[in-house]
Amino acid sequence: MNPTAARAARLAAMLLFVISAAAARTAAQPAFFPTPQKAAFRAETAAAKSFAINADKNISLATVNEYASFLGQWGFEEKEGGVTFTLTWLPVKECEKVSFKPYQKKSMLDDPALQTYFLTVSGSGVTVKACGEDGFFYALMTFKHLYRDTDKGMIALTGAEITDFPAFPVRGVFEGAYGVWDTEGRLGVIDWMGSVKINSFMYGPKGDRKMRRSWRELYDDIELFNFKRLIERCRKYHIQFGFVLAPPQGVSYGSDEDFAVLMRKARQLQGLGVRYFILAFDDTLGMMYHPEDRAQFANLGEAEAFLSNRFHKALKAYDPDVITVMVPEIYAGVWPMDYTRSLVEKLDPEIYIGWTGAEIGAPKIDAADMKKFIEFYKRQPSLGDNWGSIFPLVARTPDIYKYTTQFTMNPYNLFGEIPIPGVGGASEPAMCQVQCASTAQFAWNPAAHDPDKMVDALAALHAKPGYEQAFKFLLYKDYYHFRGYYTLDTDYRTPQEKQWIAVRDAGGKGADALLQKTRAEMNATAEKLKTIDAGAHNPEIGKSMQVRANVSEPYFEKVEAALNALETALSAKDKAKTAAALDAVINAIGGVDK
Amino acid sequence: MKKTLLALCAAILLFTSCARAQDSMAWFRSLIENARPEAADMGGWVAPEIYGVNLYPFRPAPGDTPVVRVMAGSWTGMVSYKVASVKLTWWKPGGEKTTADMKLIDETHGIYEAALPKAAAGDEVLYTVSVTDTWGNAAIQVPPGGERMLLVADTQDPALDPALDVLAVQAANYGREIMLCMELAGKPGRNIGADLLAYGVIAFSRDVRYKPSQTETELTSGWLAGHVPAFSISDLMPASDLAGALAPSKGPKKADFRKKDNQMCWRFDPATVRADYDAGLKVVGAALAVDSSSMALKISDTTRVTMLYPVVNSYRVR
Repeated sequence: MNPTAARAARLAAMLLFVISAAAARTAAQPAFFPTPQKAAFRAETAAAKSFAINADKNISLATVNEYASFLGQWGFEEKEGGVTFTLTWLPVKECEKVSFKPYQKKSMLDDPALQTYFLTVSGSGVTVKACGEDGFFYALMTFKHLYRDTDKGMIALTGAEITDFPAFPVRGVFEGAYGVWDTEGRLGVIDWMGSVKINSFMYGPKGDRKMRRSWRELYDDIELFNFKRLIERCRKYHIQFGFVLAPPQGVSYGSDEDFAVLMRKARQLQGLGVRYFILAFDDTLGMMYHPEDRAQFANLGEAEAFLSNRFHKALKAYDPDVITVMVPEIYAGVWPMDYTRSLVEKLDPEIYIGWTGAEIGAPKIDAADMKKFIEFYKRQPSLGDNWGSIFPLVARTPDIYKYTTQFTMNPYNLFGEIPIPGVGGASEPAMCQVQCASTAQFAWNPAAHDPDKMVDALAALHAKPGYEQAFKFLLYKDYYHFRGYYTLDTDYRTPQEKQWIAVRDAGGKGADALLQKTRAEMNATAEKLKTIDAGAHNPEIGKSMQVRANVSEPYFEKVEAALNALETALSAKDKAKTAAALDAVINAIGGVDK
Repeated sequence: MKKTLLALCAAILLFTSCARAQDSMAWFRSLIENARPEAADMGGWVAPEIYGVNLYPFRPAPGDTPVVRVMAGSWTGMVSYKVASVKLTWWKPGGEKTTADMKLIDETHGIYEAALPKAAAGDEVLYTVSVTDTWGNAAIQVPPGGERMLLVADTQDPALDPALDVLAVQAANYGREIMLCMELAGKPGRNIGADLLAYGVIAFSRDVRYKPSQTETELTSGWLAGHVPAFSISDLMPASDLAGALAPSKGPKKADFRKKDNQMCWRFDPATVRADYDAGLKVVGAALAVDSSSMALKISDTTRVTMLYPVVNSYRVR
């Protein structure tokens, strides 16, 4: 080799090294949730927006078709020269090595290993390894966040090395309040749930009279058709569709005739493909109205256990994999009494018990709460968190996945369940994308769940540039309201509260500056709130946020009054009054009426 | 010639638009006045429906005998005819297909059952379901892969010109697209006397009327994959806008028309008709004569109604 050529070769090698080193450098995670359990990201690579799939012989056609279908929907052409997906089936034990051990593996949904995936994106090659169809699906959902469209027919693909699995094998949204979403709204929720790896949708709106008050009436063909649409949409996104049936109003617990009516209704849904049933006795002031029941059962717990056992047995005769949950009259806390003791003694151990935590709207849920339930009821709870705020979950400790395989949230405030100023009575399925995002994150990766980061992520995702602060303000305000409504005694404080608490704890140092800053932010926020409906990417979300924004004036007035009092105290250099005024500001910001 | 044709098209469109603006019942009146019920044998528009196809157990293991249960029926209460037969067809990838009758196990709910062969490790089994009612209307799952399947056959009508006599509609599922083919007794023609001929397969989006934000009826929610030979025009258009059959859509063509062996085939994205087309598209094949002076529509022949599900069911034994 002549010296010039050698120099050129050295230069080329150096250049190659620099390029490789740059490419190998880790990059920030693209903004998406749920956050993978383990992930390293690298620089982007350009690739043609087309795909080819190389699947090993163990991969089912359903998985290959699923990849082709979703990639097609996302605008990828099926042809060589673009992104190549290599799909490899792994034995379950390979996934068990990395995933968390579930509390139990009793039902078809309990195994996180089947949802585990290994995703590598290197150049334009995508390698997916998984131990179940669900794992392959979740890898695909993650892949969606790893590319962005650039020039026509081209994408920038983020390099990644991901090992991922859920903490809770069952992650759910429960439509379980007194209002009712419409089918189209529900379909929208299901589409979104699939994209964030929530895999259980429970249909239980008390506003559907055929689910509760008129439980004896069969659904007609139109209703069945809409259930079919929901169930099939759920299947597309690997979501189990659960159906709630609430017969306590009028039922005779021991009656063969009533049982036949109940089963006729349940069989309608089983025929459609429902494999997850919830028999709900909650919120009905259940009593044994029929003398025959009073003669047959010692107490209501026995009666409910009898009916639940019979129901589960009949469902199981049709479907060996069926999952049955019963929601008792006492569905929060652990209260030893005849009713609950009868449930413990008589209820089939295969049946789950629905439970909302220590309270109906639990201020916190931690391992101690879970252990208390398990110790008494001798089974894991089917945890249904009544978190009624568009603000992300707080005070749910990350370790509770060790005590149940199921974490479901009932966003009951999105039906007008609680008196949110200006919102009462509204059905807001689109808002689940805001509220349930936290469930998606927490139930998949609780260790990565951080309410403040979720608020930032939600604002970045849903608000147009310039509207982020106003969007965040409405989330905080909703939290203050919720906290006041349920008197949540949590340690969580919003960033703004924390700033003021720090100033108070520093004896008022920095109060002046923070006062000016708060005023400026409030004024800017108030201005943006006037048009927040146009400031959201999703018009439905914008509309809901506008309703909340329209009733913000009293809040601003209260905070302004507290700030004015503080200003006066600071001017007077009165320490005692300043301290009191600081408390008043903190209370006003936090929505506390004191 | 081309200019003359364009001018004619423009004149017809203007005429039809004006007519529609002044007389919103015009299309319906001409359909009612000119329909030949003996040829338009659609059985009240009611096709049977497949409500659920489910496998038990959920994940078959080696040694299991998987059972398929199907919930099917004509539920509307509009018609007296019932499900006559439900069939299950299964195969392994690349293998021969086997079809068996499914047994009614629950009359109240219309649930049918059939067992599949005992599962062995590694088996991948695909299966589809078809339903026929006592009128002759049907519901059929058409698997992806491009294989052409008969949706509905129509007996030959000696009273009809062969160019207007529909013999069958077939369907093929290409994953992202479906192809519908209509077979005629003779070569498709441009006209018969003063009547212009129009052909189409109409796919109905059956549930639109239940969508609160929309007011379409089932009839007007249909989409027509149509061809008007006189103008060499073919496209996919809303059935409520039949005038559109005389002009190509402004955007990219939604249906790609192919003609061969007295068959006209349209290939299009079913999501155009409805987003969740997996829940079923009601399909009817039709040949129409259009009076060139009054633009009155005459339904000359239609097939019976088929509910088309472009899906396949499958499982893999692990």
